[in-house]
Amino acid sequence: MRVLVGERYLIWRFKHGSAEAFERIYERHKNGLLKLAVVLLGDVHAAEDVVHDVFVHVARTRAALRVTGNLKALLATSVANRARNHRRDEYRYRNSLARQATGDPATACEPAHWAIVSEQLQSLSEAMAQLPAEQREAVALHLGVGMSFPEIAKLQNASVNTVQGRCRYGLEKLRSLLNSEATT
Amino acid sequence: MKRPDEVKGFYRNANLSTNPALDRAVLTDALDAGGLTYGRRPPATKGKDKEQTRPGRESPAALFGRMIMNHRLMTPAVAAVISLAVIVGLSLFTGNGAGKVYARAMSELHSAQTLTYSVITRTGVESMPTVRMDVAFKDTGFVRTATADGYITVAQSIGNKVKGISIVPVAKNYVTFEVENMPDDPAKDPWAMIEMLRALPARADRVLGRRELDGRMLDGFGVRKGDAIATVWIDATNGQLARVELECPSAPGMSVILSDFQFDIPLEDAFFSLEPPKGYIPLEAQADAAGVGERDFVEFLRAWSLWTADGTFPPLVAGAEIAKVIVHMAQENKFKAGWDFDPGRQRVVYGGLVFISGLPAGTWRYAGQNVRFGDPRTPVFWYQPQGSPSWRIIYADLSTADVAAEDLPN
Repeated sequence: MRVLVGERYLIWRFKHGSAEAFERIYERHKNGLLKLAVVLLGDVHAAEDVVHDVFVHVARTRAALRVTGNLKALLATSVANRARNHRRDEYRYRNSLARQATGDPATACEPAHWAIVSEQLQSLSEAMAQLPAEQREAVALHLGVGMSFPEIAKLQNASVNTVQGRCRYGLEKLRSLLNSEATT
Repeated sequence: MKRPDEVKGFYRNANLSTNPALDRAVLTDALDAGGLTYGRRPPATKGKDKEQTRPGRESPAALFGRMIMNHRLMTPAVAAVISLAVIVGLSLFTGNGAGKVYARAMSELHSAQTLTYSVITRTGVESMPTVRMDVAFKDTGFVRTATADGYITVAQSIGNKVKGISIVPVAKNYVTFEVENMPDDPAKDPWAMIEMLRALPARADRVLGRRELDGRMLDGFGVRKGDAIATVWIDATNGQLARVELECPSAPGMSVILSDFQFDIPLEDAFFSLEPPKGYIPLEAQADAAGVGERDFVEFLRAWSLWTADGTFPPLVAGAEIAKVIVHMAQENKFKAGWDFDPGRQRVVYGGLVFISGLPAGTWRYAGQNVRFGDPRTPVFWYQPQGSPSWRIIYADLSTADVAAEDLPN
């Protein structure tokens, strides 16, 4: 509860123009959001762009921010929406897939990257890229962010049962992919 | 083969780090986009500004109040504030600044290295002067309190051991003390206390509006709990805690004001020296907090009431201010003729203070100001022993009783 109260007060200060408060929000959430974007997009460059845009947008529209909500879920939803928009851009999406197919080092750890991805996250990202988009999103938001099924259902405009199914099937396939990777 | 729970573990453990240089660049982009600046409020459009500060909608009280007003964890927080008059004294003897709790609070306060503020205490006791005390903490476990007329106490905590020095300029003497087995109480951490005070507007019963004080625009919030009233003033430009005023109508004339909060101002190690001034006479006190109990506190109350000419109990039981209280009461002939603060009496006072310092913040209350020894129905002190569901009350005849929380005095 202390953390919760602290976060609400932090948001209140941020809404009132405190750069220190925003910096704390940024430090607290940046890694989780980057990880979410990486597993949703399978592309570190694109993930960095999305998270950068989310922070800029939140800072710019702070007056409209609601203090009563769950900031982590709000930021994650914003990342998921932007990731979806990003995927709709056919050119960038195909380009991203092409880079993966050719083993382009853009998804690997590079000094110029904002996000320095561990090998484990790299493997996870590659496996997640093979899931259908809705399953990938449901698994990432539920497992990675801790969002509830009803929250994800609202975001995906689907029923709770559908979201539960997406998570179940997504996890099953992820297990299969990671196991096959381990045996090869 | 990975099991389903191992897949979840694999997912959660797949992490990343960030490039610090690019971190700063991204943060700067966002700060620029939002017009956010450090340490002061950016100019805002009139409409938005009005919307953000409209009482009842965007004020901290309105925003946080409904969420936590009834949360049980907030009660100790307010109780801690009520007993803030002694927090400074308690902090002298507890492990603040060295433990894991401190580290967590530090992280939440932007890794501040130092903290200073001022405390003004009025006891409500006739001829007892108002005491202004400057308090300073440093992250190496040091704390220092100083009054304008030279009463200085410095303590350093290392693990659960505290050692320090108190200087009494009037008597030209000093006391070195060492206390072992002090419990680690998160609520006594000075940084945690400041965070608690910062969040206190969340419990506001009243929004007092905006006032200018010492050239600063402050937003005021009134919080009432039991018979204690706290008024919290937050700097309107940066949301920082600016001033806290505490009063108890049942103890007329007694009040505490905290102000001048500062983080990260440079404080040299020499400022926290445990060395006595030259020419001062040493006295020593040692105690094991684990061996001090209620009987020591009762003995302290009994002795004090015998020392005073009118048979009253001490005006306060705060460690940091007690030396000054004793000196002033002696100068005002409040003690019986021939009374002297000899080493035996010092040990009695010391035992009482060590007992108080071992109690978790918010689990005790002293109401013995202006009360004379003798009435078996007047409670002067009550506390909750650690791990006990009931409370102990000490009455003015120094008899004791166990009571349920709902039967405590108002």
